[in-house]
Order: sequence, then structure tokens, then C-alpha cells
Amino acid sequence: MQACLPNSTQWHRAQNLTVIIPAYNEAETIVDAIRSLQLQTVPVKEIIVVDDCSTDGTAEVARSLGVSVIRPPANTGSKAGAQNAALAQTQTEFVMAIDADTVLAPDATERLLAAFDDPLVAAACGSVIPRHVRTLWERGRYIEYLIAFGFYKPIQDYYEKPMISSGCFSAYRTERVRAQGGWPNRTMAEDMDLTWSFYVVGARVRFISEAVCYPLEPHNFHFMSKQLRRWSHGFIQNVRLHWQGLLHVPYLRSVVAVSLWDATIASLAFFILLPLLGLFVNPLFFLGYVVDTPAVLVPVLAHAARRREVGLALASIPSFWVLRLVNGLFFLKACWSELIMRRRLCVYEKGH
Amino acid sequence: MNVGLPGTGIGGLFYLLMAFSMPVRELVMTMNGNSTVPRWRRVGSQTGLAVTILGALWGAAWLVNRLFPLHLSSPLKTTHPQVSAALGVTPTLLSFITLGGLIMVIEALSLAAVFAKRR
Repeated sequence: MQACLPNSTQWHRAQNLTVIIPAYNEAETIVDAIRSLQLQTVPVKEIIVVDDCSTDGTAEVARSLGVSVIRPPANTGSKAGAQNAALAQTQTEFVMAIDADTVLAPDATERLLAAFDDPLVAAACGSVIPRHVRTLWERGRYIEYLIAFGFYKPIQDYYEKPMISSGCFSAYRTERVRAQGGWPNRTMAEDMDLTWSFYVVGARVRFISEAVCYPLEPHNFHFMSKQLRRWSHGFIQNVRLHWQGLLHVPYLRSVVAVSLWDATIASLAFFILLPLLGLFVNPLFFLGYVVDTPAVLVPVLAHAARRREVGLALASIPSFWVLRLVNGLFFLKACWSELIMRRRLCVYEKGH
Repeated sequence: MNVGLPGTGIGGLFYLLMAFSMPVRELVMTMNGNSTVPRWRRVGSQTGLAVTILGALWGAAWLVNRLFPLHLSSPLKTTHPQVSAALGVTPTLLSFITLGGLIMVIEALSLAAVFAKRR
């Protein structure tokens, strides 16, 4: 029986790849992240953990696993800040960013690096699946990701405009990131900011569905609320920052406009119009909350079937209904805060 | 990263239309010699999903009509048959009009931005 050998091109690329892991108090989770990197089918040149002034011994844990650790003189205040601290020391052609709570599938790096066969590609991202699917919040997020990475994102990639190269697992050409001044920390969503900045200067971004990572998702409302707050504010901040540039990027401008419309108008319809119609016109209007279930179920079950997780997906659908309502509320709140009250979210809080 | 209400609103319609456009675009690319078998496989996979979604939505609508026929249409059907028909078509039509309008506005803005840049 012949062993499955890694692609030699990707092997050489991996030998020219630095992985950056920003970490703040991640002693419990970073072990799995580092080990998954060390077990990749293509060995990477260097792994740098940026210990952003942790107090739980993250640096010692990382060092004990044989990776490089750097510690800025003071907490950088954001994920982007920590990543930039390592970017300054990166000497390889490619750089990869993964979250400290994220584990990669063994062939994830090899598959992701294949995106760089195209010299115009500046960034590539992979599929994301929650590592644990136990609580209501993890289950809701699991369904969200099955839809997003099974249906929406492959379509975005087909039209050559994935909306975002996810911050939890993406690879880049180092010079392209440097040309943007590193990871930007002017918004709460540095990954979206960098992705859109690439598009504005004509670079390409790819989504490789076969490259899979498994992050820890918020397991309770406390952490989920922090993450949703950051994501909602980050989206609005990026639309405000990039809208003029995005107008020159075909397809992406439509994706962003539709997302913004749904996040605001569909949320308002969910929270105001549907209850009013249900109460004063006909109670059947309440079916509006679940009427799109078939449209949700099809891509979810198709993706789950490939992973042999149909039962898990079916059991998680109710959690998705809850999460999307909460998601809608957080987005409306973020709109009110950023656009009406002009109160900008500036403090980066971890979501787990 | 998802914001707002994933899976709802005109976003779902937008991605359905995009999925249905994929074979057309790929056909053009094939004629220009720019397509490959893996690309067609991806097109087939996403378009197949879109067809199944459409079928599932139609099936759900049929089921709802069978389960609640009186509640939704009787009062209107007896008095205003046109209104009843309009009620069935209105949500779909509204979604198409909203999506079309939004895309047109965005395209108009992008054209304006191009002209502004040239000046």
C-alpha cells in the first residue's frame, strides 16, 4: 500500500511559512493549537507565539513545546497588535495566523497553501467548524458555520470574492501584509479590514473549503455576547471605513450591501414587523420565524452528511434559531451605538 | 464571522440567484477555454444545493397551504380572489424587487464613483 505523500510544492512553501499565534492567557488551549501545527502533513518553518503579557504562564507552556515565544513590553490591546509584533520578526515568504484556541486538521496547511499557486493571491482561508458542539451557543454557531462554509462561502469564492479571510485560520503572502502596514487595528474586525484592503488594491483572496480548522467557540452567553458585540461593531466599522473603495470591487459590493441590508432590515422585520403582524393580523405570521427552515436545512444537512454528523446537525437547528435572534439584536444595538449615538467600540475583548 | 440574521431575508435569495448563475458563467468560461473538471464539479455541487433548497421551500409552502388552508386564504378568497392571489405572490415578489433595487442602487453608486474619480 502506498503512503499518501504531501505535495512537494506545498512542502517547500511550508518551509517558507511562519505561523503566528497571538495569545493572551491561553495556557489551557495553546497546547492543542501548537501540537496540531507540529503534526501537519507539511512541516512549517517556524511557529511564533506572541505572549501578549499573559499572567497564566502561556509563554512557559509554549516554550516547553519547542516554539519561539516573543513578549511585547506591554499588552498590545488587540489581536492585530500582537500579530504585528511577530510580523516584524517574520523572514519567510508566507505567514499564517491562527488563534490560540484553534486546532488544524492534519492536512489543513498543505491544502491551504495550494491557493498560492496563483501569484495574485494575497490571502487564503479555510473552513471553520466548532471543536465542541455541546451548549446552545456552540450548537447555534455550528449550524451557522455549516451554512456559511457549505453554501455561501464556496459561492463567494467561485466569484473570486470571499467576503472575509477568517482571522482564526488564514495564510498570507508576507510582503502583501507588510504592504498594508501589517494587520490593521483601526476596527474591531482586523481580518475583514485586511481582506477588504486587499481587494481594494486588486489582490486576490481564496477560500479553500478542504482546509479545515476547529476553534473553540463561546460556550456561554457571557462569552458569546462579547464576540457578537465585537463582530457586529467590526462589520459596521469596516463598512464605514471601506465603502468608497468597495464600490470599485464588483460582486463584493453586492455581497456587503446584501449582508448589511439583511443585518439591519431583516432584523427589524424580525423584531418589530413579524410580532405586529402575528398579533394584529394573523397568528400564522409567526411562522415567519421558521419559514426559511427548509432553506437552512438543505445546505446544513448536505454539509453535515459529508461529515457524518446529520443527527448532531438536526439536534442543533433549534439553537440556531435562538442564536440568530440574539445575533440580530446585537447587530441592531451595534448600529444604534456606532451610527446614531456615535459611540465607537474600541476595546478588544476575547470571545472565549 | 456572521452578523445579523444569517439564512434570512434577501441574502438567501441573492445566494440562490448566484448559485443558479454559476453554470451560465462556467459555460462561458468553458467556451473561452478557461474551465476545468473540478470547477464544473464545484458548480454542480452549489447549483444542486440551490435546486434542492428551492424544492424544499416549495414543498414547505405546499405543506403549509395544506395544513392551514382556511386560516390563510378563505376570508379573502370569498371576497377578493385577486387579493388572495396577490398575498401568495407578494412576499416573493417583494424580495425580488428589494434585491433588484438594492443591486441597482449599488451599481449606480459604483458608476458614480467611477465618474467622480475620472474628474
